[in-house]
Amino acid sequence: MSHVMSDPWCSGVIPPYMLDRLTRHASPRVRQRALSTLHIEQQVRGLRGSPAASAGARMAAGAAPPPGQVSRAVHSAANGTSLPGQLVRAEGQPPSGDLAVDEAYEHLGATYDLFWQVYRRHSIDNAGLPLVGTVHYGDEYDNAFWNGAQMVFGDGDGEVFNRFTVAVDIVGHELSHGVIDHEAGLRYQGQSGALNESLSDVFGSLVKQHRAGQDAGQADWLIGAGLFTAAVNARALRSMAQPGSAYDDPALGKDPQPGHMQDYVDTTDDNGGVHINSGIPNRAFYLAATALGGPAWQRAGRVWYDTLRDKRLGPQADFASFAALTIEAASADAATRRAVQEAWRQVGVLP
Amino acid sequence: MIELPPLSRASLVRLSRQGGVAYLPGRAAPRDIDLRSCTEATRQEVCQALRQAAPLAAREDEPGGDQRYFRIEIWFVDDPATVRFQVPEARAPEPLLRLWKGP
Repeated sequence: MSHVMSDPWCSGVIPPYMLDRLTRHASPRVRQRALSTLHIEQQVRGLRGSPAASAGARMAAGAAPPPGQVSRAVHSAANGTSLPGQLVRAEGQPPSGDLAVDEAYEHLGATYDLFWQVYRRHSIDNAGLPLVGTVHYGDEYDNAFWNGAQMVFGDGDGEVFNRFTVAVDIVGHELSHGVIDHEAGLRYQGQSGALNESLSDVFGSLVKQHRAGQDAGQADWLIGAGLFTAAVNARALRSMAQPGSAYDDPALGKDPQPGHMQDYVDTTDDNGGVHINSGIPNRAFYLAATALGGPAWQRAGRVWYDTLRDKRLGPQADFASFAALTIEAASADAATRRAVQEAWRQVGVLP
Repeated sequence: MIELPPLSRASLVRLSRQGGVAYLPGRAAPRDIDLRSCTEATRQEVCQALRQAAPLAAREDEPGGDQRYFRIEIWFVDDPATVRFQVPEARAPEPLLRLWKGP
């Protein structure tokens, strides 16, 4: 909740988080100044999970298909930033010959397949929302994202990063952000944000393993393998098995991910370290899945998916509350429950 | 929306790019602009970028979904308090992008 203060000393405004900081730590004069400058408008909102976003995706790609049938629409931004851009490949059309377009099309299909074949989820909203992707976004753009209505992929700079469609788990990761927004709506800040990121990594990795037909013991548990060029010393963006070991290079720095709560990184960077502390729940999933053996999407994946859909999982959930819900979700099978509980204990989230 | 305090006493501006699926702290590379030692033209350019960016400020949990954002921090002369806000990359005004790219 924000409110307008009308102090003649200063007519400016400062966001609530800054106000909070200033009012707690600053001198009385500064506190008064901070109090006098607060105002943030509520209309600056993301599109995430909103009916308007779903409507936008439907308009961009047509009507919802029946359950079990994917609907994809891959566009090109032609190195601009207008979205969704020019439609290049719609559902059922043959390969376009544009590598990024065809990778996005295939990898969106692989992601739909995991969610439908394993969890009987019909697309992002479980109601057949068309999957809209845009490639060739921006100029040498080193990122991929979900904007609340669609997925977007850059070409990479070619020096450090390859194109972002190259890795099926990255495409799965972005689509999973849409699923998370439609379910728990985990707030993108601090521990809830790190859970949001971790769940995207988990389902992104499961897409990759499901597509390859790999058991938990065969998987590499890397996120974004192939994304880096050979010019840097990097295996991937993240390692779920060994957080903190994915890269170590003068141009990149060292992978900062912790794998245990004792190394939790308290930071204001990166929305409160959402891409950093996700290493902890990532490792918990890896530990549970490998302890159980077999395909990770079956037992551990089912527990994580059911937890994501648990109505008690609120937007502000922290690691411990998520862990407790996973143990409940695993309660039907004693071995699964033990493996899940032990995994959270090993990463220090549960005692 | 944010309206900034008067920038006449601003002494230092730090700009960093945050977030993204490929977030690498080593590449965030904060860019500092010392307003006490720069030319008047640079100061005007920086202040103009800040004034255009401030109305586009987002909450601390936005934009989400791996969308990157710029974080702007401003220090003031004889004042321990800093002003900090963030602007989603997709909404960043051109002068802010020019600042980030540097000379």
